[in-house]
Amino acid sequence: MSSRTRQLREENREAARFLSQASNAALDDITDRLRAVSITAYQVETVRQDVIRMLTDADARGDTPEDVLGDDYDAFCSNVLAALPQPPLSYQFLNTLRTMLRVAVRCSVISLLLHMPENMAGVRQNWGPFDLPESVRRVSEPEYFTITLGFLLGWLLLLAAFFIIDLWRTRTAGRKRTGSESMLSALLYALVLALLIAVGLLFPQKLFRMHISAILVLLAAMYGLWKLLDAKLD
Amino acid sequence: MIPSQMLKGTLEGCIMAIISRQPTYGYEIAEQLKNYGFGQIAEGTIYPLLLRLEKNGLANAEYRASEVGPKRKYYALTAKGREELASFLASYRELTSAVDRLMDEMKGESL
Repeated sequence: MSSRTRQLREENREAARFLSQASNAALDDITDRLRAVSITAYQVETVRQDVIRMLTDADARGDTPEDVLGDDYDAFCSNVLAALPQPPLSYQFLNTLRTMLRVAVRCSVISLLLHMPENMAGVRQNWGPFDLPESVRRVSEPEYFTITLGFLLGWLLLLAAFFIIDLWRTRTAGRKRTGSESMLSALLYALVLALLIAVGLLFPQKLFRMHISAILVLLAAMYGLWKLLDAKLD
Repeated sequence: MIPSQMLKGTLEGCIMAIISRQPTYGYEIAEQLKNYGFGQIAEGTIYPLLLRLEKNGLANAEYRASEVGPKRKYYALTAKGREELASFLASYRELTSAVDRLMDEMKGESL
């Protein structure tokens, strides 16, 4: 997220603290609807800023959110979305790429850390059907990371989990999470971690090896591209 | 109370007319419309129309600091908006003229 979006989000979060309970509920409802569609995060925050302004004035006058926004928040959001400039296709493509990179970097780091001990323990065993030639195997084995079937499946599982969690966090960003939401989030993380470990143990079949430096270069490239997109988009 | 379907085609033009005089914001526009006899129009109805005017280059928006809460967005008509307003007024006068002629002919006829 760009710094201007981050700053606006913080300003909105601060301003929303002074809204009445009913106004905050209305704001949360509208925010969820806006975040569910493909407009930029900056557009979401500018609309939120305007809605917070309307609700702040309404609270001061003693009006309800419905007096200001109407009864049908769906209709309000549809009208607002129709009136906003649509992000170009290039933005939507780059936004999707940004999300994929963010998730892929996190998945890769977690997967690598989880499988490192197993990798260090397994480097001296036989390779099986995917053995590399003797000339290559003579290099220092700990510098090579073995990609197993379990690692690959775990990586894909983590990718899916992170996408779901990312989607949920995007929709609820800017508002305080309830206690049960935080607990559910923690349970989900724990479940995913447990599944990862299980998958790693159940599928130890080796697929191929990669030099650690190659992995690190790839990770650094993905991370760099993610951060660049994050700074430029929104 | 003016039916919403009838209001639909003219509300945007009326909003342009109001913001053509001086920069103003959503609630103030709603109050002015009410004073002119348009009835209670929610700020949430006016807001998307203002966004559309801004998107189409017919209005400019400027944020001004407020004593309480976030900055307030003031809208003013652009030069392109003034041309559009003139076009709307011409079309509206043509329409009302035609409706008046029709209604005059209908006078005396039982409806």
